[in-house]
Amino acid sequence: MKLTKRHIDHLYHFTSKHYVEHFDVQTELVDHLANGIELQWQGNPNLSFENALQVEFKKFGVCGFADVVAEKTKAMNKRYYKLIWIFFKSYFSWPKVIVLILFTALVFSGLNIISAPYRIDAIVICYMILVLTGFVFLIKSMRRRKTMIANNKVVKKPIFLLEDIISKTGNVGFIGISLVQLPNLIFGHGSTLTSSSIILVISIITVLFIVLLYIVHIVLPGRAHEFLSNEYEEYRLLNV
Amino acid sequence: MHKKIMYILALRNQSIAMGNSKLYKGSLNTIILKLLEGTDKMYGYEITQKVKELTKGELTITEGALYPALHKLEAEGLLDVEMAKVDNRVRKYYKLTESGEKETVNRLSELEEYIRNMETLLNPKWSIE
Repeated sequence: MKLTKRHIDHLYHFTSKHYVEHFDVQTELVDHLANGIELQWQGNPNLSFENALQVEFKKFGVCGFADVVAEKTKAMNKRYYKLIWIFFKSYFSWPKVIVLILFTALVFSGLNIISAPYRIDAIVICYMILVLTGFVFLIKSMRRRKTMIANNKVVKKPIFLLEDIISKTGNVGFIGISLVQLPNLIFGHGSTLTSSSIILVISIITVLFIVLLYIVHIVLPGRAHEFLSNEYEEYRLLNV
Repeated sequence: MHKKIMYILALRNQSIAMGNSKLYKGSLNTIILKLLEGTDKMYGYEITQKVKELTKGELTITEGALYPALHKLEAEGLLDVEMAKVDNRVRKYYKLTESGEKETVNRLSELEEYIRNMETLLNPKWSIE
């Protein structure tokens, strides 16, 4: 005896009720539960669908689907960071690297113009502006995500895990918070920064940080459709 | 084809109990890789059933352990996935990547060496010189 389309829809609903939000994770669990139920029916055709489902669900242990979701999220985060790294590396290739060098030179000159006792404060303010800009993008992205989830519920369009990670920027934006405190922690509040080589290192770090924010907030969300098509066969099938 | 995995599982069963043993958990990834080495592709449920069948029900891979392991191996680039519509649902198949094939060989030899050492330690051959 095979499961009907209605049974499968019920299984998707069941996984969703057990905190599996994303379609790609749900799909695998639904197939697993369906196989288990069908196997039970082979031995006992009179067994009800609901009872067979409970037997299969119990096999996942006391945590239910939590371990599966956690490991899948970890794996997908890893894939997301790999995407960031690929784009990050691409900025060091010719001719993009010229823009990086020019930008670093601009930041370096800017810091040199500021009088020495105020340099550290200027750097902290600069980082704060960057982090705040990042947060503005993050809030916008979270709002977009909320609307996307609401719309998808209406049109019954599934949400994929990678799609969600991209919209949340994989929490990369939070790295910036620690970066804001870094100049004060290293040099001490109110100290004077005069060494050209240290100013150059700070300029490079600042530019790299800007590149990172640009990738997670602009590049990756802009190309999400392409990444999702590459990652998920089911996404391709649903979005042709 | 499955002689090696039968051997590994049989040996493990001699020294460990079923299910939750840490020893068993430590070998789960190698078991998955070995099973996939012998076939073109497999899906999650098929893997659990295959292990049960090979060990005649002596050993069962729990669902809560299998999928996290599969996702971890996929993230490490050792497994590739393929989707197919079967009956009324979508099925996710796993297969070894090129680096997965190489890693299977490494992990199997590591596991075999571990088993050999454990056997030596647990069943030392005494001799009078």
